[in-house]
Amino acid sequence: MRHALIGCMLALTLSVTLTDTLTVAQQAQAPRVAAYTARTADGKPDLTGLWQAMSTAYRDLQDHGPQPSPFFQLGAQGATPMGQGVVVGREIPYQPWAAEKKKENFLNRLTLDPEIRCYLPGIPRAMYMPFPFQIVQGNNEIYMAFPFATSDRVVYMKTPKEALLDAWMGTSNGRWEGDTLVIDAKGFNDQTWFDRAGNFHSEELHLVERITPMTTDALRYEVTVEDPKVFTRPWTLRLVLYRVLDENAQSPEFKCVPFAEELIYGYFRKYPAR
Amino acid sequence: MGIFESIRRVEGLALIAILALFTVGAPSQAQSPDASRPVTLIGCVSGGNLQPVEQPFLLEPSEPFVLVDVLTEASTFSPTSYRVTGINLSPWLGMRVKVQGTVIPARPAADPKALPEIKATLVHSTWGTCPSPATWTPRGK
Repeated sequence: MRHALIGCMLALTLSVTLTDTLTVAQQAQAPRVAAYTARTADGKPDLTGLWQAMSTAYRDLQDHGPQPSPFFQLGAQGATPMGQGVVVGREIPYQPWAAEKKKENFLNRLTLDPEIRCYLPGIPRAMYMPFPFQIVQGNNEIYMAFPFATSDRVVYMKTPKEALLDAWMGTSNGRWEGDTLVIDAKGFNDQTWFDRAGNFHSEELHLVERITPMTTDALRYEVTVEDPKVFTRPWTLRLVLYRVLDENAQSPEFKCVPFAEELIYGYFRKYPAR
Repeated sequence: MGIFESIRRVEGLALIAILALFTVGAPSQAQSPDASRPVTLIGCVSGGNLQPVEQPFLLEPSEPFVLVDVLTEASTFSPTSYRVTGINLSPWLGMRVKVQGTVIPARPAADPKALPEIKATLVHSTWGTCPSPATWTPRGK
């Protein structure tokens, strides 16, 4: 009888916990109306400020377990901790050949990841790298400055620009849909990755980004990714960008070129004969 | 029939099912002990013969990487070197590394000098030094 009672209590506790978890998850999924949002003179949400993602999406867009450091001297500092994914539905719908290439990219990430070589990060990767980035909002254009490789992007709001050439950061045109900034970005080259786990795309990448204020200090960032050459269907990633509120906070520059020089050009060093 | 009796019956059935699974699974493992199997080897990275390619300033291996001076899982030095595929080992060239992967035995009938292959799935450096890649001779040669 005592066992049965304990069993019932456990089942009840589990059920309540599950219900709570589901409720919280559903609330997180549902779009929230901004309680209070800073606004510009024309009534649009004012996104100007320093923002930073707090997720581990920059390591892997998908759920990931811990990985040891490739070099033991780095110990725990060089290890990859586990992290929660930001892909809606969890799976990235790769075509079969692309799924194989993603696996190869992951295994060979030390030689293939463009971040290691200080190449421009591309979009959407720049938006969730672990550095604060600056948004400066104007009526005609919205400018975003990223610390890594001192990269940037301009979102054209008034006169749409056509992507004339494939570029690392693409070409972005924006519009407001209510309180949501919708950015249509294309014209990318095929050199950038989505993360350090080897998730990749081709030059046919087309992004529709939606930035919606959740509060004055938090933005929902949602991206629908299309690339018929690599994926079987469009897919979405979703995360939160937080306002950096530290006193005198600034966007730090990260001129990474000097740190990649030995990797890229060290091979050409001449050693004297012994 | 009481609830506890039902639980005992379910437990008994689960135990039988688990035992049956073990019984069925055991022979297939014993049948092919030398076939492709996951292993961890510690050795020194040599070979590769890295060559620059024009764009974008990459060094690509023009020959296979070879794991020499290999310590096996049984903590004995292996007389055999291993050809490493699956991961570009250039970041660890000249270093002692731990390689996890699957071993594919050599086929001496086809090529007497062929090395067994380890298809790597994880590589990281380990404590220890390596002899100079230019001067060492793989053990057992």
